[in-house]
Amino acid sequence: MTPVRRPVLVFVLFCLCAIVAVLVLRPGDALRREADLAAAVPTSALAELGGYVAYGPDEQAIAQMHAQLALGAGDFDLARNLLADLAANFPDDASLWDLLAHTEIVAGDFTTASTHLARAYGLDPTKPRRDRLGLLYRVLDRQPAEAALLVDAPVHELSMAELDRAVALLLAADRADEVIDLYLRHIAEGSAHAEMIKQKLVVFLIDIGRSDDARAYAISWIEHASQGGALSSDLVRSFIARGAIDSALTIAAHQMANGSDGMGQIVLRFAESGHGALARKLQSDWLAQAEDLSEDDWSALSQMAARTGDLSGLRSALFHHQTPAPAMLGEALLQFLRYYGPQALLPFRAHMGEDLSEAAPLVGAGFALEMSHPETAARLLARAKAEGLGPRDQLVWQSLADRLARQGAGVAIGEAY
Amino acid sequence: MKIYSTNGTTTLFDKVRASRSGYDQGRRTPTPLDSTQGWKTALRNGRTSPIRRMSPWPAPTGLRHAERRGRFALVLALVSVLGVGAEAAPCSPDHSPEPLRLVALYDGVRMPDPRDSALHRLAEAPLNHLGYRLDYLDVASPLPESPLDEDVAGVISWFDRPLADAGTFTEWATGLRTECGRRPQHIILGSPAVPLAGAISPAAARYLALAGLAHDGPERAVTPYARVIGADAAMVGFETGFLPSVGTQASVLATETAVSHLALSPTGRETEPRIDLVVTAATGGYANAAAVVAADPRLGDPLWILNPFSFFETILGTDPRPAPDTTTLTGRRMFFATVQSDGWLSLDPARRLGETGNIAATLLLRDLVARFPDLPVTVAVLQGDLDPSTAGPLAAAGEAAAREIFSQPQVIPATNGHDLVRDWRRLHAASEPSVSTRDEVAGAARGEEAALSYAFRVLGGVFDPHARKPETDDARKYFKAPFDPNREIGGALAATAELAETAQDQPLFLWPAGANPSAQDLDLVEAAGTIGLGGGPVASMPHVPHLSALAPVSAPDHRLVYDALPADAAFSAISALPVGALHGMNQTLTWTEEPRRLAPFHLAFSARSAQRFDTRQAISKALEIARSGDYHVTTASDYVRIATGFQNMRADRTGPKTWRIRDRGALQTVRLDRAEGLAVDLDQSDGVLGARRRGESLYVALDPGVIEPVLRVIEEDAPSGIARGAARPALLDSGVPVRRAAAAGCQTTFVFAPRVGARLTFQIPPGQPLPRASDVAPAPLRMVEEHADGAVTFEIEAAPETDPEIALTFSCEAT
Repeated sequence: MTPVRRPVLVFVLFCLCAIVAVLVLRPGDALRREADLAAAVPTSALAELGGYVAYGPDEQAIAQMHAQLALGAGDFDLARNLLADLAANFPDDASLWDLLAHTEIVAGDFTTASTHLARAYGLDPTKPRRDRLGLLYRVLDRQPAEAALLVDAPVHELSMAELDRAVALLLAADRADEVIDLYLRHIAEGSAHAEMIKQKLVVFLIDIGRSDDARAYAISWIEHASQGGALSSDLVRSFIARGAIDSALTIAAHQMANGSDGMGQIVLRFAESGHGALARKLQSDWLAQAEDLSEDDWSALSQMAARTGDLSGLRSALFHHQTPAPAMLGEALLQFLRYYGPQALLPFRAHMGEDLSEAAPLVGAGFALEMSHPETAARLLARAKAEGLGPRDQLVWQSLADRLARQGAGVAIGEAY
Repeated sequence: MKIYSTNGTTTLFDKVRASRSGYDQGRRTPTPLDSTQGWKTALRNGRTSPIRRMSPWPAPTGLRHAERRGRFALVLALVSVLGVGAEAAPCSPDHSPEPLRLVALYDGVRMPDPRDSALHRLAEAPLNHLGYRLDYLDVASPLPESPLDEDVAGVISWFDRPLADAGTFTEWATGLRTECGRRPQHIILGSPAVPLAGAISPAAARYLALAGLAHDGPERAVTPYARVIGADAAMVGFETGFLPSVGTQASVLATETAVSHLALSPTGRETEPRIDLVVTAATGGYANAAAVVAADPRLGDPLWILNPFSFFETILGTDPRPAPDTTTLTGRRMFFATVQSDGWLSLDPARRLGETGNIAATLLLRDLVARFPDLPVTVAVLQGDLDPSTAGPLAAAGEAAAREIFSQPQVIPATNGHDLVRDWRRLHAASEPSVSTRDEVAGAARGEEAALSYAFRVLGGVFDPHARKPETDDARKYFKAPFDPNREIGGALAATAELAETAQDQPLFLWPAGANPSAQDLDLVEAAGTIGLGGGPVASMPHVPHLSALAPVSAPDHRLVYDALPADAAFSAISALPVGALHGMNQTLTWTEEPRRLAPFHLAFSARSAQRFDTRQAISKALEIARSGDYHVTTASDYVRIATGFQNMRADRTGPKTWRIRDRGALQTVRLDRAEGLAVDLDQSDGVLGARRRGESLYVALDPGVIEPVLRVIEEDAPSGIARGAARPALLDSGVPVRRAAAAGCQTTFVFAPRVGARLTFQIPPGQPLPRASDVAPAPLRMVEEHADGAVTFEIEAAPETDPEIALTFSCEAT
């Protein structure tokens, strides 16, 4: 072979390979048709595809495109037939059942739509599918199917509205026992709404006459909760709301015996529900044995005083427990100022200082007035106003401003306003 | 005597002026307007807005500024309802106005804007269907002492909790009387305004008794064993069933004379007293909040548990009487189309390399406007879309398309403004004083309520589980310029008028759904000499039939007419919906037609829908349906005028089964429900063109040329709805507006608008000859069907080029 012939041969060989490659990799007819249809104007594509055709196995993409075009054109019969063929060929493709369901919804046949959607949900149980299916069941008044759908849904996906609906459906079907199972499953499997569900279960158990079970569950949950204080006060509220005062007191006693976590809020729950005497007794017992008070406790004590006018708990706490942060202290002392005027602040003069005036200018102003420092009082009143006053604070502010005016501090009062 | 037009050129303005200045029967009156003869001429001649002049509350000049404040407009409405300054009403049962109005109570502290109230969002639409207009009264304001107008049927409330001053309220409510001393019906939905947890006052007990309720002790716990012990299937379970929910319920019972339609045993024990949740009585009715609607987050809108039609009819009466109807014209369901500008510049993706895509507006013109020259359509542009400084390089194409669209003879120009403000209330609120400033001002007067009230106003329906909110959080589409209502409304309308030089009609202002414009915004539209449409609540997913998807006819102050059906955006409320969803609008058409015609066919879509194949096809199909179906094609502006007439119409009884229809404006249909055994006595009626029976209802077409028609019906089961033996022909239905009818001797002439292909059906008295060719002028009619019952259908073969009317004369004897 001459040196000239060799490159020619190589070139020819290369060309042959290229031709073979082109022939081998050439798209099939179906693929080419699919590409042409995709590039065509939809009306032309639909016209070219025509009516119903039983597509072969290698034409499924075209079949799907045809179905979509038929659906887009509002030809529900054609879309339905094509999609039914596709679904028969690919029964595990949830999106095809979705499309079939959608076709029926748009065509107004909700019953058939629900069957298709149930199939899709069975294959791939997503929340949007469940929402649509549940709504269809509701509109079709198929309560058992809707209940089953919601009861069997994954715990972490179910919203409270869905859970409430499931409970209502179960109760309407006389299936109260299943409600308890449902609640317990959601609690056990870590529902995002577990704390609320616990309260609902407590209420439910009381309502069906199983208060002992409710109390036992409550204590068990509190013992195992990372934030037992908050849970205990919520559960106390639930017990009180259902008139199960003994159970509520049991929870309170349990908390007092176990570190008093959340006791401030528990006391407040009793006070809010009109059980003032019980609240005062609980508060007294709790403060007598409590060592440290949390910010939450201080806040609850202040709220209790603001609500009832009974400042004994707050006074006891201020004298016998560690002084809270200035903001909490200010809130506490504000109750004294509100109910008994500036002179009530005098026993707490040791707590008065710049930090407190900074955090609670109204309290600082009251104390300054009591100490006959009108300029300071005026300055703090002005600051309190600038920071914004609630309706009750407005009255305190006005009272202090009036007293400042009565003291004849003309210049100072101008500053306050 | 009838009143007919002399020249066919007069306007709505003249008509209203005529009614105001004492024109009455016996005078010749103008021809009312239809889609082809605009009131633009009147406006150009310096006349003011027709809507203002049609207001039911013609405020004295001194009140005009105050009237422009939205809430004061409501007060004026109540002044009207409460009979201040009204002429003495006749008190004979056969000579008194039909009670077609309701005083709608709302708590301004909880819900300062009645647009957010459940009454407006949910109850008003079914009440409107029954023919009732609602006039809102804030019970947190001083309560008026005047007697109610005689046409007030009742008082309705839907509070979410007891009122702060329930004592004053119950004293006032129990003392309410009309001018003739009739006690209005009391309809209580939700909380009965008075606290029911403990003992109640005698006034509260009297108030409850009006609704058929008796207080039965403290609130009771509803346990998991609660059971429904009596449910009236005709009244409960309308869209979804009632399920008891655990909690507490007010303990109330139906009084001895009342009827319980839904009763609950709160513990499931037979020995325990029941709680009545739905009650009707001779003097009113009550539906517990748990039994009215059920919220379902999966739908977005609530579903009705209570059958509102049965409930309201049971309380307010079922005797057939003319109810104003906004769904039907000349016996057919109305059709009109509006196009919002949304997506105007949206580019169609190129299908091949190097190809340039069309903007949606071009496709709108090509496929949905130009192909349907016989269907009028109101198309809105957004001026910001046409401005290169805001919309960029596509603006030029957008403007060219707008000019081309507006040059089409069937297109009525409109605008969405300049920047597309999606929520006007929110933008106005943003420019109001801050919460703290406001609280300082109001705090001393109203304490905590001021802040609460403000929060409710700013946050709208956030606290309300039934509240619907717009999909988007963007207040405006374009933010380049500061928000300026004048530029947004007056400026945009003027710019649109310039674009639409050849258009016959003044541009309309189309408000997007959820726009919530203020009274001042509406003033700006009126000041520009035009009218608006839309701006109502946002509906969700109308594939699933639910009544709460339908908005009332208009906003609480009756100055803003809402879209009659949900727009196309509502069909894609669930983003995951696949292709073809908009075809579901056919379902909406169906459930708003059967079993009751609840709305006209309002095809409301956006330019964006012209872009996608499936949405374009759906719109195109809808237009084909409108063209070929049993519809009366009209325009958005005509619908607005009809809806305005709805709010003003009165029906005064002048004898047994005889009514004089007053103040109806452009409203041309009244409907009698439960009218199976009734038929129109054409010879004893005046200004009635004809009637059409549909189900148990009778739709009566009024003569637009007669200001105060008289309708008389008699007991006769005539299938056509026209009593047998009528001496003159009657119109059964028509696809075109019939402008007037004239009877002279034994001849009757119907004058109607020309539209090729439109059909008209008449009932001709037995023995009367059919019209000959010479009886039709100037264009020919073709008789297409002679029905067995004496009805004849004609079709318009050609439209006259110059003459805007066709006259068809029936003679009673052959010549």
